[in-house]
Amino acid sequence: MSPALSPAKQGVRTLKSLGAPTRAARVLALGPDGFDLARAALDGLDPGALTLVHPGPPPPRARFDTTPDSLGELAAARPGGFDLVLASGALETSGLGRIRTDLGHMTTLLAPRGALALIIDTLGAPDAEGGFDALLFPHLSRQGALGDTPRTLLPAAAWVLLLQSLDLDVQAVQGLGEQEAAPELFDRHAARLDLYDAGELATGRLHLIARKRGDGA
Amino acid sequence: MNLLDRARQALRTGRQAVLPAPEVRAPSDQAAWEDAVALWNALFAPFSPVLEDAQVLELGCGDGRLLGALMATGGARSALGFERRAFWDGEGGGAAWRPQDTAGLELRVGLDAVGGLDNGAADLILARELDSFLPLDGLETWLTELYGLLRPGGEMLVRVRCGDGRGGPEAPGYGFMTPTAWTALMLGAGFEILDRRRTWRRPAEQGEAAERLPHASEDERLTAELHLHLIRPWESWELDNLRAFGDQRRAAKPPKT
Repeated sequence: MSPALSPAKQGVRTLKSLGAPTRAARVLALGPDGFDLARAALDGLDPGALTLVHPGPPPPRARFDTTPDSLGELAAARPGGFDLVLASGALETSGLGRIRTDLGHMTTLLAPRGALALIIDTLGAPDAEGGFDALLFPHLSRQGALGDTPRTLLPAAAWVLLLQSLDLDVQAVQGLGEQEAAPELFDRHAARLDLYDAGELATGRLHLIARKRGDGA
Repeated sequence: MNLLDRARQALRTGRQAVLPAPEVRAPSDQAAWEDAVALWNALFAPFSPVLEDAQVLELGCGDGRLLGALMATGGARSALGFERRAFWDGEGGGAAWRPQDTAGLELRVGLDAVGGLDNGAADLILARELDSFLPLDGLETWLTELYGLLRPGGEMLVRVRCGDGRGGPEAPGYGFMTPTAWTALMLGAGFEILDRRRTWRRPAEQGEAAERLPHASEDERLTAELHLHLIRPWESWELDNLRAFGDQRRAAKPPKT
């Protein structure tokens, strides 16, 4: 029996199956998984060079670099400097304005026809404990009674439109409508759930490949 | 001129001397007032908000005539409007008028002044196009502010536009907000959604919408606008305070003899 894949490796494998480019010359990776994500990208996508957005130095013998710069600083310093930007869980913990700004920076960092590979928890994804409190009890969440709101609750369709509005062509998506609804949601919160689109509630984690519009190869 | 005509002329002259001349509005001014009433009837009246004695706040109030009409004939106690430009002074080419002549009505320029208002300052908040008035940066914070401005049980009626994947500063719904995204945002700010209505995209736009969101439901991709009737609910601590206040009053009452 083979050992279970780490979430980072699973994510990268899914992105590869969707068409994330292998052997890209310059790859930028970012996300809370940090080093795990970088290692998974090295193993799964075999890039020429990989830079991880991370405040600390790379571990010994790592085959990737790190940069402590923010996306904004990177975008100003190296516009068009990457052929692939890989982001896993890196966006949805911010507010709406910051999400759009960060995605704009990622677009700037991409070379023409460069690929953006994203792993995103949408509105319908459960939180880290497998619950839906932020979705179902927004009032408590707003007051901080449930701790910090785990993420911005953007549905899958809004993510797709957001990418399109930033001049990115969405090429492949996985995860739409694939999540089975937990029966207790409907038993306990049917009135509020009815406000949400059923298809969006059935979409949890989204894997997505988009390309920057442009003439380059 | 016969006797009857002379009598009529004398009456007319006498009335003009005694009574003030009726207000004669310029055609552009009259049209602007009629537009304000039509806007109310189309956007807000279908939700039947409580206007009587209400303190009304409007975000993006345009030329302010809608608030003026609510003060003149709607029964509102006060009305405070915010707009990016002083359209009531004729900025932007509109027909100017004098809001200061309407008691209880105040119109202000700029967004910053909204944040300076006290909590519980409004019974009813109106926004004819919320997404063009509030910036995306800090939108969640702004909605929390608006929640705080309403008294418990207060209402907010807003029209929000849905995105179509086009970018730019003037893009409807910031380019990407869908009906479910707006719903989550409003619930996340603490509001309860009492009612909502949709305006569908025009037939000519529907093909492109389907291309942009091939996997989404028709509700999500074909909604051009959402009209939301939101309620600022009583919070549990407020109900506790009410209960304690009632208990105090009952305890202070002298016992019946």
